[in-house]
Amino acid sequence: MSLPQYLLRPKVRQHLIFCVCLVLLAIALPFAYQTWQRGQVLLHQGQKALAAENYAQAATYLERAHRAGLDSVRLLHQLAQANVQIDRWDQAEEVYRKIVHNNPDKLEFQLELAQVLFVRGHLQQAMQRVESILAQRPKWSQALYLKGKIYTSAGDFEAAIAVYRKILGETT
Amino acid sequence: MKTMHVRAMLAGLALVLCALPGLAAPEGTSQGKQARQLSSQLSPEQSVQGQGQETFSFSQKLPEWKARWELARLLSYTQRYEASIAEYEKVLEAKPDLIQAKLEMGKVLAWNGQQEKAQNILESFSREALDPESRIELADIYAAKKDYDRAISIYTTYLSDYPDQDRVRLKLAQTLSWAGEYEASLRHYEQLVDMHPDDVQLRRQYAQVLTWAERYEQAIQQYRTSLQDK
Repeated sequence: MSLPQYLLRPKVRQHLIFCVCLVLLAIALPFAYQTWQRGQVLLHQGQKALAAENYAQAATYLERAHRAGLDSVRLLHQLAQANVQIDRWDQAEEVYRKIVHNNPDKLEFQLELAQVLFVRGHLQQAMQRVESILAQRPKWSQALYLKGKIYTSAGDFEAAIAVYRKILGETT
Repeated sequence: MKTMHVRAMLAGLALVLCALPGLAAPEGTSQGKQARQLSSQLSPEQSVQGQGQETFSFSQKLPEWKARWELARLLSYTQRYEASIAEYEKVLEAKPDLIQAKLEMGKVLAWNGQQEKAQNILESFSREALDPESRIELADIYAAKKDYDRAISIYTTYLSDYPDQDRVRLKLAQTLSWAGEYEASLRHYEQLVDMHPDDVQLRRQYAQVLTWAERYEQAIQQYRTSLQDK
């Protein structure tokens, strides 16, 4: 079976391809939009749950929004923080790692990851991260504070005292 | 030809865009309504920052009192009580409503032998507001000041909640013996000696109270046992 001759003409073929593309676009775009909108609804539901301090529900909605394709820093950050609030530390760490990977220059996120590592008892990893942060911002009191906490947990009270004195600008 | 293409593309896009609102959650559906209501309620900047655990908000400057509080604690852990108390005073100057810091300072004052000040601080809280450890600290102060009845009351209440706390049971046994309530004291000592038969010092304290209770034969037996153990 062969196509009619007029369909093989370059101009007609060009039109046909264009029309097929347009139809495919018309089919795909609404679905993409629908998925995006579902993600937005889930995001808003998650944010509403966060505002109501219903962190478990917020984590569920935000996780679903993330799975629906939304992966803004804000969403991931809110998801991580919701996980923190409900003590889902492994999930929080996973999300924070993702955030840090996508935003390597944002030291606040790195410090939050270090805090999660500290809470999870990974003192060495937490300290490595804090040291790396302090290498970039040596006088950042929040990072120094966490460093002091890590020293305290490790039982090195003298080192912790020195860190807190540094925060307070004391020499002795 | 190009003009035709552009026109067709625009027409196609217009078609697609016209179709979108229909395919998305329609006006009347709960999903659509919810999305709109939520977007009107929440500003784009609204986030979890500032709610819940403050330790996960690093965007703001660390308040000085937080670092000082940690320093005060650490100084007490390393038995530098005077320095610790000085730091606690500064913390409470900055944050007078910090109940936990106040309680901790009360304990450090007690460890530093400043019983009167410690008592004033711990008594400024209702008994219910005090955590169990602070209650024991207050009872210790009462016992040291020979206010045995109040100490006994606190220890007894504590043991009804935590009956396995032998450290506090011993305090109660000792305080009862100092208050002259030997039989009650001996009952606690018997319980403790049963739990810790190899503790020579405990057995000798028990023997001492038996002596005070004029149960000499039993006291001799306990002293003998403690010497055998040795």
